[in-house]
Amino acid sequence: MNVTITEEGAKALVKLEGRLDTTNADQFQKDIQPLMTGSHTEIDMDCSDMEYTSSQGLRMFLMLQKTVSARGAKLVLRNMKPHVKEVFDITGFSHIITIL
Amino acid sequence: MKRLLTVALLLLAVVALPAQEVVTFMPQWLPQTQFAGYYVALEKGFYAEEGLDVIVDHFGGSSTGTALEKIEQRKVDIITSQLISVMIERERGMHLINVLQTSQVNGLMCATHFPITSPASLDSALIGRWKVGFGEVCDLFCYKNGLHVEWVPYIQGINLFISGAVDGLLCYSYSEFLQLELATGGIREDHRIRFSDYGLNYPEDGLYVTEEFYRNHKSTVDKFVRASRRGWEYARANKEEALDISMKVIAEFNVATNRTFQRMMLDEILRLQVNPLTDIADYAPVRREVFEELNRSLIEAKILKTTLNYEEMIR
Amino acid sequence: MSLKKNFASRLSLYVLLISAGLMLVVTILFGLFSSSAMRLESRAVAERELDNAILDIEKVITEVERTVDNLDWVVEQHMQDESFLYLVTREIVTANPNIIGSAVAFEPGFYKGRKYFSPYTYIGDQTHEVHSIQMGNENYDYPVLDWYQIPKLLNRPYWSEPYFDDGGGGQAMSTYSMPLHDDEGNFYGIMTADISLAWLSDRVDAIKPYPHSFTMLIGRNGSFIAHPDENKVLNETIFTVAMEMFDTTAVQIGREMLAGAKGMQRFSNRGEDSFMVYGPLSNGWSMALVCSYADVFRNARIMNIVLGALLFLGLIGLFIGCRRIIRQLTLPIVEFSNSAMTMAKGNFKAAIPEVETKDELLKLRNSLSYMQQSINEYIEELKSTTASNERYESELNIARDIQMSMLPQDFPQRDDLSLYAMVQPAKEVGGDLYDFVVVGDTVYFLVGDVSGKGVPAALFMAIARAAFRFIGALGLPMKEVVQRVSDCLCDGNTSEMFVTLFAGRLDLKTGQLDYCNGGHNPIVVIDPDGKASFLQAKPNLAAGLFPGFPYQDEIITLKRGTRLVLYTDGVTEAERVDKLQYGEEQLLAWAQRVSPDTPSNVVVSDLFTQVKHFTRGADQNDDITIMSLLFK
Repeated sequence: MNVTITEEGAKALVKLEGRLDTTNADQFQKDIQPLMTGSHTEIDMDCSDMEYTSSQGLRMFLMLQKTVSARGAKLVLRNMKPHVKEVFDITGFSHIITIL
Repeated sequence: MKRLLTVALLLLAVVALPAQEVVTFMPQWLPQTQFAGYYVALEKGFYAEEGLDVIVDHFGGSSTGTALEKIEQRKVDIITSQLISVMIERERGMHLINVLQTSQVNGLMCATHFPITSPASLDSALIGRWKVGFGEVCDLFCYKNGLHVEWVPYIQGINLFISGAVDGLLCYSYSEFLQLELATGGIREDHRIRFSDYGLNYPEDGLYVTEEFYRNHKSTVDKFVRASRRGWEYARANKEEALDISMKVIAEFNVATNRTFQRMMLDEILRLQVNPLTDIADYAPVRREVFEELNRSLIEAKILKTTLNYEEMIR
Repeated sequence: MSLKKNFASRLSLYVLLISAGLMLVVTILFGLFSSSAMRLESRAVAERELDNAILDIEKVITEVERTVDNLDWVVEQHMQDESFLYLVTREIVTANPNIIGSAVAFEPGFYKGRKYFSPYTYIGDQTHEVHSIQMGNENYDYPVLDWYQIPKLLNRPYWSEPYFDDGGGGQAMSTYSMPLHDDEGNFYGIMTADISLAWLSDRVDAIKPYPHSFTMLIGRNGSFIAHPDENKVLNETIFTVAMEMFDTTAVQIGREMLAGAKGMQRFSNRGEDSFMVYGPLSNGWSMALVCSYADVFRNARIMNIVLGALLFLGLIGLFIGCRRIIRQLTLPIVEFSNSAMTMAKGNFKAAIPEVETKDELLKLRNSLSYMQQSINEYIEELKSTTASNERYESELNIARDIQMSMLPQDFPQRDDLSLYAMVQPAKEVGGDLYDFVVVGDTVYFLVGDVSGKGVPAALFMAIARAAFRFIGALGLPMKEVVQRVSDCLCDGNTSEMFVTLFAGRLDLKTGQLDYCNGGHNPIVVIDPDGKASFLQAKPNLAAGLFPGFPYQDEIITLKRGTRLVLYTDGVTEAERVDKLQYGEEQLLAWAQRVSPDTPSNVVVSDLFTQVKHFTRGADQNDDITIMSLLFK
């Protein structure tokens, strides 16, 4: 999964491309470290080119959500592909993470 | 009785014991392989086997006494000489008889400093000629061809020709001609003339004795002739040995010559001894026709006056 | 010490061969050059000697000629005085040490009518006394002798060809003859002077530029006047000798000499490579000096041999020296190879020898050292990677063991229930689980998928199972069960692990199914008539995320013959090599084809086969779990 982070002041614009599965979950974790440890007030993730995510991936998003919430920032996932959103729906993660 | 026997035995002994008869032989020139057969016969003991003790004398150096002169003076018994010379001598009163004819082909030549295109080329030339004789064939040649030649007499050698003092030189194919070849490195083909090519092929060397000697010592003569023939035949079969023997004799007389020249001479002499009619060296006597024709030619050329008797001269 | 194995020897040999080759070429060239120079020099030397000798002899010749020439007028003056004529000849003989005889020979008939008149003085060969005689007589017919006749015919002075005179001198001599003419120019006689040839031979013998040189004097008729071999003098001619030698060059030289030419000719003197310089004398004679090239080159040959020997020794020394030096220089290479051998045997810390020079050997040393370093680093990395891999492997094994131990294998054998389940784990243990318990006529079942991997996921799974068994047995509504299980899992869960699950309770008497879905894939329901569909269920949330989450459950009644197929996303997300996933549609299509009565184990096995066929050898990236529950 390609993670491209662009910063606009305190806002982080993130572009996600590709797949997120068990093989690159660790790499994804490393890639979003700046978002985890950063002080962004808003994180906007463009998921239009995110092809797939496994349960491991979901865990990553959950961890990010919890960390971001803990410091009072906002996390938004946008333009998710329908079959990917379905996973979030099935697992009920759509209730936990803001998906637009 | 005993004394009679002794005397008889002594007489027998005197008669029976072969007496070594002494014979004096003189070739007509200096020692050279021209006379190889005789030297061989002497050295190999052929004469001794015939009971002959042969003493060889020679015409020498600047001394001008010839074999013909010596035999006339009864100083020698047997000589070699040429047929024509003997014919001339007979007219003068010396009666010699031919007992062995070794030469079968005429060897007289003339070497020149100018090209010979025809017999006429010799006309008015200055030609060297031996003072002692031996040039009569050339006289016949000049007579036949109507030539006038100016003769320059000399003793021996080739310097007269080499120095250019004469236009031509009479020479023998086995002697002076070879010397000329060895002195110059080669005489040009057209600077020579061989008289035997012009119908003058008269035999030359032979053994001669006086009529008187022949009458008194016929058996001796026969023995000498026999042994001499053997000598020549041996020489023909053993050339190198004959050459060695001849060189020994030559050395004794201190003649200025060399082995190469003597070998060439021996080859030529042996060649001239081969009878052109039979192709072998058969020592055939001079034929009557040849003898009489020669006689006639000599008379025509005014060299001889008398007609000679074949039987008287040739044996 | 075979050459193939010894670098120093081989290299030295090449150096040797190249050096030897170069030296050979240089030597040959030098040899050719110097030999031709020596030839030229020897020719010059010989020509010089020859010219000098010719001059000497010419001097004598000229003196003799002059002596005679100067006195001819005297003869004319005192012609009438016989005794005076004898005096003249005596004068000539005594005046010149070279003249051994002299005569005034008159033409026959000229002198007072005499046939022969020739006053003659000579020095006796043995006695050295001076004698005078009148030499002409019948036995000595001088007018036909060469020394008289030839100059007369040629009408000029003449040097005779050498001859042996026994007219008085008794020795080998040559005569100079001068024709005499009266005032009217008529020839009347010859005046002569004889010179001894012995003197001439001595003078000629003295010419010896080289040890084996010899000189010959040749007359106009080719005969030797002087020659080292006395036997040849007066006997042989240059042509008789040439013929014996079978050498046409000699014949050619002879002809040239007789023609009065001056020159030089190389020829083979009885097999010996020689040369001859020749030149004419004024009186028509010719002199030739023969030198053997062996003599000329003798010194050079000795020098060559010495030089050759020195070069040979030098080359040997070169070879030995080269080899020693090369061996010295390449010693490090041997040491390097030893170090490399030590390393190859396992000792990677083997010492690499130091190199003092800054050349290619230093580069080699540095490369070797760097290689050693790299190998060591790589080994360390390999060790740690292997160690961590092993750790990881063992961790995976532990996790798998935990996982497998929790999956019940004693499937119920009941008339009203055919239940079978199987987990096919992936390498990276994904943490799938299933569970079932039959209590009386109720069957509790569960299929779940833990989010993490490794031992933590396995433990998580263990807790989930344990919690389900414990809580499930309480008879609470399914939503309560799931909620409590979730709460259990939330406790102490800091790594955000969760488990999606589908839990259900089927009353085998009534067919009532209580179920609660916790974020899991929708299960497949196959009606007794074979129609397959996804069971609609509220998604709720995966368990273990939020404590106290209000899970909602549902109740439906199953007709007998209904089959439930539960699975994890390992089935639907099974990937082909081209990343195409099996998907829910294909799952449904497969479910549609399942025969209602098929035993559950067959069904499960069949779906596994389908998935396997679909993926066709692509790596399995997630656990695959399938459970078939047939309500008979």
